[in-house]
Amino acid sequence: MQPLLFLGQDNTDIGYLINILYMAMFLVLVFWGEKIQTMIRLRDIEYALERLRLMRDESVKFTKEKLKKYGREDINRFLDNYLEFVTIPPVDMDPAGVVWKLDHIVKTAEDRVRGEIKQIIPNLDESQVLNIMNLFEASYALNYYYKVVRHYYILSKKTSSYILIIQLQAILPQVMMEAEAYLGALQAFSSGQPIGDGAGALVAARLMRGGELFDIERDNVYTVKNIQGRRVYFMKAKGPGGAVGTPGDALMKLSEKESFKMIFMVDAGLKLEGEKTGSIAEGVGAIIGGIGTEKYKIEEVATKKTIPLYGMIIKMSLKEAITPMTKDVLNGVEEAHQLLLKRIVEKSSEGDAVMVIGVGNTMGIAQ
Amino acid sequence: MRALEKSPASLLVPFYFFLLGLLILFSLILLVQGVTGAGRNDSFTNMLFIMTGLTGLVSTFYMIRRYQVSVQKMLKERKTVVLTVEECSKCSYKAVRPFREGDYVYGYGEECPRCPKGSGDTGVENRMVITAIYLEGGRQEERY
Repeated sequence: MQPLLFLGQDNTDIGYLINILYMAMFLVLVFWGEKIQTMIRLRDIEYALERLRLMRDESVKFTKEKLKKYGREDINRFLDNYLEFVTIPPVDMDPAGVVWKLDHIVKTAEDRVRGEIKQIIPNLDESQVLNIMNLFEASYALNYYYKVVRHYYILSKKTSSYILIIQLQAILPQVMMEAEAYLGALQAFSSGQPIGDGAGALVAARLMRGGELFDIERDNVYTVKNIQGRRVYFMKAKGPGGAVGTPGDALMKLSEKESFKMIFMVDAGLKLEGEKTGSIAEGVGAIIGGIGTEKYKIEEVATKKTIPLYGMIIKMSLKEAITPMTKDVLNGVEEAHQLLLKRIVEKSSEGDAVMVIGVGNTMGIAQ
Repeated sequence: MRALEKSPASLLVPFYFFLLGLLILFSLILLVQGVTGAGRNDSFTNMLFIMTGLTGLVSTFYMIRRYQVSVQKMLKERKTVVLTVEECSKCSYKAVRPFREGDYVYGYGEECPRCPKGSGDTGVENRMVITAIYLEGGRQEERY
């Protein structure tokens, strides 16, 4: 009977050759195993980097295509410059008053971009300017992801740092997911479709319908309605452009002339994996994202005047938050709307003044 | 205009295909060696050569296919259909149509097909109100 032989075990020339190959492979793996693993990991990072570059290029190309209709070449140049735009945060060695400094810097940056777009294309209305700014921000984010990943890729290659490579590879799926979300957001931003992040604003818009609207502070509107004997102030960012408004400033101003018994906030919130999109979570505190300046102002008002802060979160993924609103989110909006009306009546008494803030990007949502 | 910077990984694809080419070549040599049985009378070793060659070929084609699919996925145009829901405030007639640029929630849509247009109507009296705009299909595709 023929004994069981493996590749290289027979005494032929090919067998010897294969034995030598096996031994060589063993030595290679002993001495250069880590190097080979590094190469494999770097290859994965290179692939992701190439995808990020394609996404960034596609987003810039798409934005320029969309801006072609305005017939202004300057806007393309402005977009290229905007991709490298920097906003330097204030010094925080002495943290007292840093929020106001940050608020000032962020508003200055926004004013500058808004002003330059208006200067290049003067016939744009406010909504169009805001939508173009949102488009620019998506391209900016994609360019930023690409540049940061490229930086760490080159750095880890230069230093041959295995730990750096592993760390970079570990965060790549999250980075790619966020980059994909920004790429998917372009269509919505360019045509002014409501996005998932506008869920809070949509809840407020539903409740504001039919009321007389008043502008207050930068990009906010509010209305006052009577709900079972309560004076309810509904506030949101002014639509239908892609604005988030300044609810903190508006609340500070309104609280000077009205003494609120409670504040309700509704906003879109990031869900954890496994949670259902559109599900509602109730809680307390200032439910608002962003850099924190508006949150600070709302908390300041609430703390100084001892006003309870109640809130609702409509849950969704990052992708759902910045791409066109899904049916699940819309169902969540409907649920939050009903629940909010119920809670206003439950928590307050007749004659009370209640503030409701619908937080979020109001793109594609009027009022 | 500032040119967008190039990725340092742009040489990766030709190199990847060069490696795949080498793998195909090596697999073919093994396969031929196994089939012709050059220098051996041992059928078991020949069989192992054939198996190794075939495995090499199959895995190479699998890798090429995987690359093709990933490129297609990357370049695939993201076709999403966004719908606009319009409602008539007079007769509650509801219509759903594809989104058009300029639509926004609580803005005015098309004229209501049910309500007769009055002779004095000049503006928005007969137009439906957009009550919702949402993505068809219910949920966003998650790739990761």
